[in-house]
Amino acid sequence: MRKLMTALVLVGMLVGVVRADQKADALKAHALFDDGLGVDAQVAFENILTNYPDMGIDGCFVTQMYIGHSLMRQSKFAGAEIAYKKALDSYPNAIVHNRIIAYKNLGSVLDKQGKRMEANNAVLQAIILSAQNRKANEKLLDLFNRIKPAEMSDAAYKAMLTTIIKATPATEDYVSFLSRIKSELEKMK
Amino acid sequence: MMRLYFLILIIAVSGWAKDITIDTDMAQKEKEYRAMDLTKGDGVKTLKDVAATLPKTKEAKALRREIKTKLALLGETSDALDDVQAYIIPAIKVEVLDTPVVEAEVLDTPVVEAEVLVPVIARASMLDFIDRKYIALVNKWDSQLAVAERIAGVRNMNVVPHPATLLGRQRKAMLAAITVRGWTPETEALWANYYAKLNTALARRNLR
Repeated sequence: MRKLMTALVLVGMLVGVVRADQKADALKAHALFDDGLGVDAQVAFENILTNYPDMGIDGCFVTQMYIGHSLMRQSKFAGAEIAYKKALDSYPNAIVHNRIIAYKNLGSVLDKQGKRMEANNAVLQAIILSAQNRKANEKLLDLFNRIKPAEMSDAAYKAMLTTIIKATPATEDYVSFLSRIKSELEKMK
Repeated sequence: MMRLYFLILIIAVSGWAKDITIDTDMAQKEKEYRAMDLTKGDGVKTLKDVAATLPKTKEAKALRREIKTKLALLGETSDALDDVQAYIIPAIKVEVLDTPVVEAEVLDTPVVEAEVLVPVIARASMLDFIDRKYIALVNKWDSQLAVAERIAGVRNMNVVPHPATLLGRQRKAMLAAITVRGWTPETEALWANYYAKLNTALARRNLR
């Protein structure tokens, strides 16, 4: 019994040490990022992902996003695109709010590379997620304003608006947003 | 006499149990509806199918209204929803289009943290394709909701009076005026006046 207790205490201490290290490394990586050291921050976040694979889906997701942010800071937009896509593909069960932010950033980075259609589609995913999850607390109009219809055919834009209507609850809480979508549809007539 | 009391008690309990069953059924149906991803497959058909399965009860009314509104926005109708009204979703009309303005100082922003970059890019890209007047109108709509909230409160502003009542008719006329004329000082006055009256009416009802 005593041996078991000792073993449990040792395991607990080990876990504590690992968590303390993880926290210290995370703080260091964020400090590098805040100081504008994109390359160093990127390496630090990559190391965190490698060294602490058990930190949970959301921890991994956010770290992967910060790899994208660090690449963005270095103007490595293609790399940032891959990083954001990796976050979204690898951790489909991450909390919705973080996934929405990832789609928003993916939209920005695609836009930076001139991939307008893909950028619009990334923003559309953010809108769909946000509309389907009320607790996501994202402003739908702000998201919608990121879409660039000038880069799309009328048919594609109409299909996008239709998809948004399907995803958005048609209740009084959403009248303002739906009003905007309806206005866009009317403009196309 | 005792038997009569017992019979009444059984009827009351069974009625209560029935209400609970209906509520639970509706809650379940609504939960199933919310879990559906209408963006995949034939969303319109799914909406119509759901509408056909919903009972014409007061418990189902809100959901049926929602589905009718959604179908209306998609340019569709369903016979199963003939007895409910869709929410009024006004279209904002723009008469004059301004030349898009691109703010140089926004576009010249150097590479910054992604979280910070997002709103900056959004602002610039927004100006790429939407005229300022349009944005102003949308913002105004938001600010009008804030006015309604200030006058009547969130709870009261969402109460919809029966269309046959004086207040119901006033609401219909007010929304129609805004849809046709847009936001003008006159329609804004109608808007504020309606919510003030709604608030008074509800305060009177709550006193009883």
